[in-house]
Formats: sequence, C-alpha cells, structure tokens
Amino acid sequence: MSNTEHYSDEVLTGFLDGELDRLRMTAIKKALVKNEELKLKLEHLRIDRELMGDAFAPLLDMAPDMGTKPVSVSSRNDMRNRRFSTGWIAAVIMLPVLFAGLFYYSGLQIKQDKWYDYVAAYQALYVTNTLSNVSHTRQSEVLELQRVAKMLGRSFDITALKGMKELAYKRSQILGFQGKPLAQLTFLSTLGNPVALCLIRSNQTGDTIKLSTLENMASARWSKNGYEFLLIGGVDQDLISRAATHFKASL
Amino acid sequence: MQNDISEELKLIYPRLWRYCLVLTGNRYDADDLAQSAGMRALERSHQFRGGAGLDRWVFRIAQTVWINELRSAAVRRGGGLVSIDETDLPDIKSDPETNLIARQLLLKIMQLPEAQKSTVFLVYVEGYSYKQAADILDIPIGTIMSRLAAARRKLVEQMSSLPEVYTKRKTT
Repeated sequence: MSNTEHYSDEVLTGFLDGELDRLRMTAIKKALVKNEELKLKLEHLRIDRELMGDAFAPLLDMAPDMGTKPVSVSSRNDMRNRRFSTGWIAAVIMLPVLFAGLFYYSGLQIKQDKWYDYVAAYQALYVTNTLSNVSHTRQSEVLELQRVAKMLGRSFDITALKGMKELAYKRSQILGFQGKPLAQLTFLSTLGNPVALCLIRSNQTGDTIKLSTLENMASARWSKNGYEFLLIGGVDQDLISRAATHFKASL
Repeated sequence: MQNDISEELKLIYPRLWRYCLVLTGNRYDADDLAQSAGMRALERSHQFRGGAGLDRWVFRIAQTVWINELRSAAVRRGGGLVSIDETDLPDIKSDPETNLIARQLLLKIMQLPEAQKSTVFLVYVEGYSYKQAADILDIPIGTIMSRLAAARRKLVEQMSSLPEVYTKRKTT
C-alpha cells in the first residue's frame, strides 16, 4: 500500500538524492507510478542541484592565495588594522541582520549611529566602474524591483525612477539595518558619479527635504508615508536637490 | 607528510575558502577562517591518515574552528552594511536570465539558517554523500536529511516566484 504518510520529507529527500537503500528506492518508485499525492509531495521538494553548483562556481575565482603567515586570534579581532579597498568590499556577502558597531574606512575610525551614516559610508566606496557595466533587460529590472518591493513592503514606479534624465537608473537591492530591510536603488549621473536612493521603514515625520553633506557627498533626506529616504552621491548639491524633489513627489 | 599536505592544501584552498565564506557569510571572516584552518591542518598533518579525504578533513577543521573559536567573536564584533554585489560575480551562463536566477538562488541559500546552509553546501555544491557530510559536521545522518528536507522546502517556496525558466529547470 502506498501511503504518502509513510514517506516523510526527509525520506523523500533521501530518495531524490539517491541516498536510500535499494529496497526503499524501489518501493517509492513503484508508489510514484499511481500515487498523485506522493508525486505532488515530491514536486514540492524538487530543486535544481545543477544550478546550485553553477551559482557557487564563480566564488572559487574570488578565493585569495593561501597565505603562509600565521594569523593570530587576537589580530583577527582587531579590525582597526584592516584596510579597505573598493574591490574587496564589493565582494562581501549580505547578512540578513545588520550588526551595530564600528565601521572602518581607510584606516580611520568613524562611529555610525544612524542608518543613513552607514549608507553614506557604504556609498563612499562606490566608483563609476561599480555601476558602469550594469545592464539589465527591462524584464529583469522589473523583476529585481518587484523582489525589493516585496521585501521592503512598498512598490516602486520604474517610470519615476527613470524620470531624471541626469540620473541613469542601474539596479536595486535589499540591504539590512538592525533587522529592518533597507532598499538601495542606484543610479549613475551623466558625469559618472554613483548616486543612491535608499529607504527604510521609519516612524520619523518631517515633510521637508534636508540637504547636507555626508562622507563628502551631496545628500538629501526626507520622510514620507512611513519611510525615511536618503539620496546621496557626487558633489553636485543642485542635482541632488532637484532629484530629491522629483523622487519625493513621484515615489 | 607536512610537505605533501601543503601542496595538496594549496590545490583545495579555493574550495576551503568558499566553504569558509558559506560558514561566515562575509569575506573578512572567510579569509581569516580559511587561513586558520589551513595553518591548523599543517600543524596537525601528522593526524591525517593520508590518501583521499584531505578536503573533508580540512573542511571539518574549518567547521570546528568556526564553531569553537571565531563565530562568537564575529558576532560580538559586528560590522557595517555588507551586501553581495551581484555585478562582482562573474557570469556563469550566457543568458542573462539564468545568471539572474543563479544569483538569486545563491542569495537564498546564503540566507538559510546556518545549519541548513552548510549542509546544503556540502551535499549539493561540494557533492559529498550524506555520510561524508555527517562526518564533516559531526552530526547523525538523520540530521543531515532533516536539514536538507527543510532547506528544500524553503528554497522551493522562495524560488517559486521566479520566472518559469527556473521552475522548468528543476531536476532533483
């Protein structure tokens, strides 16, 4: 008798991976011939293992050479001695929860308290080449934005994002700050300056756009409908001011 | 014996580093962990029985060093905004849609709970058997199966929102 209750997800996983003994493999294969419920249960466990291997393959090229100098535990804990480079930073992996703490930049210690300070420090690492080769099809742009929108809890109008002719929209991604999703939408100005529009859920109120300089970059902040926004990049405060007015009105 | 291991260790180092990246979730700690594991393997080369399996032996060392020594320090240390920058990953396929899906899959796997993530990586990326992965992680085979089943359920659910080209590719 073929009863799906006899086959747990663990057993079916073993079946899919070819790890069960021959007796159970044969039994499950027989059961699958007529048991639609079992087939459906199996489908809900199927993944693309080949694609997984392909997805992780490029990481091998990122590996450094094996060092010969021993690394002591105490020196590992001292991040003050580390130096940053753009290429190195650009290859780190996203953590689902952002840790509070000190952020080191070019050997100087800068203490960050606010989310926009963190964003500014991160944005300071961007150069033209970070975004100049980014090129998506319209479909993948929309998919990427939908994914970001879903995680952030608000939608984006891609027409509005592309509404400033001096800022070419490049891509969107989700970062995290203290457990909250933070959306980053990036642009390249006509002069080649990377510009980012970031937003995060917030109880902050305040309708006016505040212009300032963060990490030597022109920036603008405002709040709207339960989100705080930061637009930052380059040194053209006039461009940032006009772009902030546009995005505040249209997003 | 140490010299023999040294040469073979250099060959498997990229895979070791990649495993360390999966364990730690960031390149800073991956560099440190991989180097620590490599040095520890060299120091203990007399304990290695020889033959095939150096990779699994070193992977196990990395796992132990991470759990016992570095993980709590990394959590306490904290850090700033970190993000996977998809443009820095070399393209793996010629068509952009498959690239995008592969990168999404990588992100989803990296966001799995730690136990599931390392198990998925060892079995589905490195290709170890359940027994081999169980030895590396020092857990029963039943736990390997539980973790993989849970990870499969989660990944299927999360990837189901992707374009049809992914759902059509699914094999095992």
